[in-house]
Amino acid sequence: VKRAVVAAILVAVAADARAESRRWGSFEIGAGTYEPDIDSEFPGGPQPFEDAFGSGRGWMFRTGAALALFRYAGTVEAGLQSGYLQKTGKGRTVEGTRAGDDTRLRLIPVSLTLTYRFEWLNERLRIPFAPYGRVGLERFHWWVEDGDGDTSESGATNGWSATAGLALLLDFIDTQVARELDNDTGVNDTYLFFELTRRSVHDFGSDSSWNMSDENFGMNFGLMFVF
Amino acid sequence: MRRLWLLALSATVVGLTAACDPTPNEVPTEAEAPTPNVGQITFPTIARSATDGIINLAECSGAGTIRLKARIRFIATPNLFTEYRLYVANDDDEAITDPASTEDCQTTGSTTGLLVGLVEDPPGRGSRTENISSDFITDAEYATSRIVSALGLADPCGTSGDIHLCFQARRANQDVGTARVTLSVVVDDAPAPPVLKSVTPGEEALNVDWDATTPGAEESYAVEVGRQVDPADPLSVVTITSPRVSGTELRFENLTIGTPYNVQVRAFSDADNPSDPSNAISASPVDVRDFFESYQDAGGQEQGGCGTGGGGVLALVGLAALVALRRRS
Repeated sequence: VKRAVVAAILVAVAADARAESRRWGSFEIGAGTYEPDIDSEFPGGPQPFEDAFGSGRGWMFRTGAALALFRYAGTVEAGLQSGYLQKTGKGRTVEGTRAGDDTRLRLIPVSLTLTYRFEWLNERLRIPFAPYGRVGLERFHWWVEDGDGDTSESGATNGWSATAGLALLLDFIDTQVARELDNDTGVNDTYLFFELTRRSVHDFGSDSSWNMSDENFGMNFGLMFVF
Repeated sequence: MRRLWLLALSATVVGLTAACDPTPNEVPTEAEAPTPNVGQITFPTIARSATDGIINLAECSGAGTIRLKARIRFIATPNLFTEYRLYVANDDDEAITDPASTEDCQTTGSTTGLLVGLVEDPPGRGSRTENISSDFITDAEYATSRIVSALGLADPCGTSGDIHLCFQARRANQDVGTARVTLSVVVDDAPAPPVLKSVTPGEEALNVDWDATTPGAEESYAVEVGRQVDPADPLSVVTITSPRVSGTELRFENLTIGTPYNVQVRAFSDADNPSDPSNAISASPVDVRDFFESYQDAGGQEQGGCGTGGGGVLALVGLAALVALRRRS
């Protein structure tokens, strides 16, 4: 009887494994907070960013896709991410007082990323967590608008980022639905993730660049689909 | 009479249009106009804009005109119509046939409370006689106030309601065909003036903010900006008016930095009746530094353009190497 039970379990596990589609990579969508450290260029002096936009951190929305490269107790992925952030504030008069005209900073970050997601916990121990680490090369495309909505200046600033995150595998909530999702759409796993990101976006220390690095660690969260 | 009706039956009137918009409408095409039965005159069903069909206070008192265009086609019998009339009534009940005269247009106020008037401008009754041939097109304008006053109301601009126009084609003093259209006379009260809250200087612009006259009401607003041309003459004011907006704020652009402007706002009701001007605020456009200009004023080194450092290229090279490594493995 014991052998029969073990055999049945093995058959079920094998059938379950067979049912899962091939993994190509992942897709994620999320949001996080960000505030560029532009005012750090003027220690003890004027604070043009804070004067215009205030001190609150802005919301940056991001999405990305990654291609699975290797699997070893987890997955190594190379990917591309992009997003959008907008800060709206008030311009200044020549005398430095607050003017009636709006001014805007718009930002489209583009990142090339390399991620390692440790999936061994779930695959071996059925613990639905996957810690991960990510490094990325960042290119922040930005432009500033004046009160008419015209572009006053635009450019791009390069840098790097490092991320540590924890992803919660949601498949355990309803394995049947997860399996159907895989059959119907090819999504193997669905994760809810939370991560901390350190960004250094300052053209690698260039003197002729402003500092778009995040003032603090950026906190991001979102959904990730492994397909 | 029966013979004349038979004559009338031999004519087909393709379309007759009425519009309140002072801008002339195009003659409706046959596709726009429903094909009438033989002997029947119809107003073609043409979508009218929100302001069409509404007579506001200014128009009621004489400022506006209603332009009528008619396209009348005679298929079999030329010279059928020799004159036509335009009647106005405040009720369309039983207006199809006047029981007193058997004419299709109501020509007398026979019903209790019914008022009927004849609009006497050309092409009014007896004042214009056309020897009409085939494909006759007429195009006439009437002062809105004349149409309203033709009803004979004691206070024509004091009451809202519908008025009904009836176009009548005649030959030998007989009615040979009619068509009708209804216009809404909206003589609602002018709205209360808005409250101008603030006028904030912008770069060659003023940012104007006001409170709605009646929250939730369907009103539009126009900002008026006045500039004194001759400093010695306070009456030498040139006023520019913005396009109508539905919100309660407006950025008034293309002004001169340093020049004082007197700003007021006027509300307009749904029927375009204007309010008195709001309170006035004077302000002058200023030179405004946007964020990047403020950054550079502070001594910032960023000059715009593409960043230095080959981060993107390095990343692409790295990515290509990883993909190649994956293929090999």
